[in-house]
Amino acid sequence: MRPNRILTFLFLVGLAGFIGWADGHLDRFIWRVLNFGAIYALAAVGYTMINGVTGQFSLGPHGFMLLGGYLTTLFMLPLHQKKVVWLFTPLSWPFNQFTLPYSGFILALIAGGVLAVLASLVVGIPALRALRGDYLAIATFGFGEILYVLACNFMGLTNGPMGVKGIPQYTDLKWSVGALVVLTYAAVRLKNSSFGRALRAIREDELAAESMGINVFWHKLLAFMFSAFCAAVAGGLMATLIGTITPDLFRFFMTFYLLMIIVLGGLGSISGAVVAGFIFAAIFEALRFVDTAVVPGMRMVVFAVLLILVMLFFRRGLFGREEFTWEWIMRSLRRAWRWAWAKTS
Amino acid sequence: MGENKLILSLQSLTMKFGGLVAVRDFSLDIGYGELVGLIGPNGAGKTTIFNMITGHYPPTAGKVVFEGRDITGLPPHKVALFGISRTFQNIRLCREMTALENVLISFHSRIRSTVFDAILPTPRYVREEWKMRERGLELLSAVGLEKWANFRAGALPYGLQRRVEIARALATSPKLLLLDEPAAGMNPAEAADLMNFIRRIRETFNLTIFLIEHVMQVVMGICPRIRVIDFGVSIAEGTPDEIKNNPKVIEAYLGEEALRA
Repeated sequence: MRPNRILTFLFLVGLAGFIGWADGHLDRFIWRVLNFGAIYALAAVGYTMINGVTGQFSLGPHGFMLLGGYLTTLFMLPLHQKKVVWLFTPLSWPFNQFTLPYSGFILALIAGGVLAVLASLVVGIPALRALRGDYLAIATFGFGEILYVLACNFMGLTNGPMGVKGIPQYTDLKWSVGALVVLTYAAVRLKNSSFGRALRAIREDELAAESMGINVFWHKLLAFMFSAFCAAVAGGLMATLIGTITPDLFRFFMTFYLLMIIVLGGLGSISGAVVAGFIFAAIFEALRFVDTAVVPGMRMVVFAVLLILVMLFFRRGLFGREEFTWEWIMRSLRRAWRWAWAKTS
Repeated sequence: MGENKLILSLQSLTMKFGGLVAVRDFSLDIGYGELVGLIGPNGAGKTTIFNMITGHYPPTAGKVVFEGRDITGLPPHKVALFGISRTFQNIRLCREMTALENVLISFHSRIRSTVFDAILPTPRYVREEWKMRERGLELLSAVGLEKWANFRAGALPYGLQRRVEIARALATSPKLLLLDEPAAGMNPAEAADLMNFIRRIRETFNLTIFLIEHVMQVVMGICPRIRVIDFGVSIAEGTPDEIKNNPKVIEAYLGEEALRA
């Protein structure tokens, strides 16, 4: 295990160095794509924990992203901007009383995560106890839609469909990749721990798992809470990257994106979700010309076709259920080396 | 047999599914260390009785008393913690996980570490995980599976899968083991092998075993006491010889073919 730790350490040092340089110097367009990639990857890591590792089909992550996005906005928006935005309906107490400085950004993100965890309990306790499969998907989908409608109508908190603008754009690679690294580490640890084994056992055979003493309901709830937390932090980062937030930013299409990412990465593979998150963000931007050249919205058609192709030819995604490990890289490198050697001699 | 020697007491268990009575008024006492067989034709309600004991079906009427405690209607994971473990008629392993991992999931409900211990990981969790693996390997070698520890459970041959399933059940440290047709789908030689195996683990782990079997020869070989049910009703109980010669059993269970023979 020693050499792996050294490699991981070197990788993290390299990553930190790159981020330190990139936040100031990288081309703004690529910088933005990388930020979006990290945010999608973060939400996808959480999402694959409940959908992939535990095998419980949830369609609710856009609801949790919405909660995180709005709460972070309410914490970080400067007071003068709050007065400007909430022109018709005044902003509710206590958010009209305070705003957090940049140093409070991490608190705002965590608060969004905690709010989403509480919400996941509200929806998860009844839904995960009684429902599975399609029914669970419908219940969680309904939850996301309810939050959308609430966001449109609770003018005093969200300013409704008009949204909020002028959010300080605090998110940079340091924040987005930092959050991704921390929560991916947590996800990998969780998946490989005894708790993760219990989650996988639930996916494989729920009846057997509960017969072996595993509290199936509690473990499903655990995975659901984890996914809600990741989604909410991702939502908070997204709002402070874009600088504006509307209820439409977190509609069902967001869950659809995440679903594509985790299927592309391989259901249940955390490293797959990370890699696919960045790939998704890159393709999403690369295909922007399709929208302008053909008709607006054409990008989504291309994506849907891509998803069908993935399902037809790569049913297990990029990584299947495997993880991207140093051993895997070493094996591949050795194989490539042997192949190249055979070619030349 | 005194009341305090009973490990399991089933009292007038009845299970109705809508209008269908799957099990009617089933009572049975099992003492510590016994090996009791339950036989009956297909659809007689044998597995339903197991499911009522383990909490998968809450019985319509009646009581399940385990070691003097009423466990009727408790959820399966709690029943498992009391010390009742089971295997399934159609093997239910986590096929994508290794044989060792299958055993390890049985230890999970007893670990002391919290999720946060596991994520960080704290020394407490690392120690516990290490101990679990050690005990898991020990258990696998006790049932002669140490060679297969890191094989994907779904890729193992049928007979070994059955043993992994039994090892997984043993990992919950049960006092009572319920085996649902352990020899199903095995040829006579494999079945005989398995019965020796069951006899051996019973001694090694000091178990009480309650087993369902469809194949008469198998259960006759190892169970000193056999209960027979048909259409959800008990029709006989006794030693293998008594059962073999009981006309009711021959008629209901073995059918006309046996009468002719």
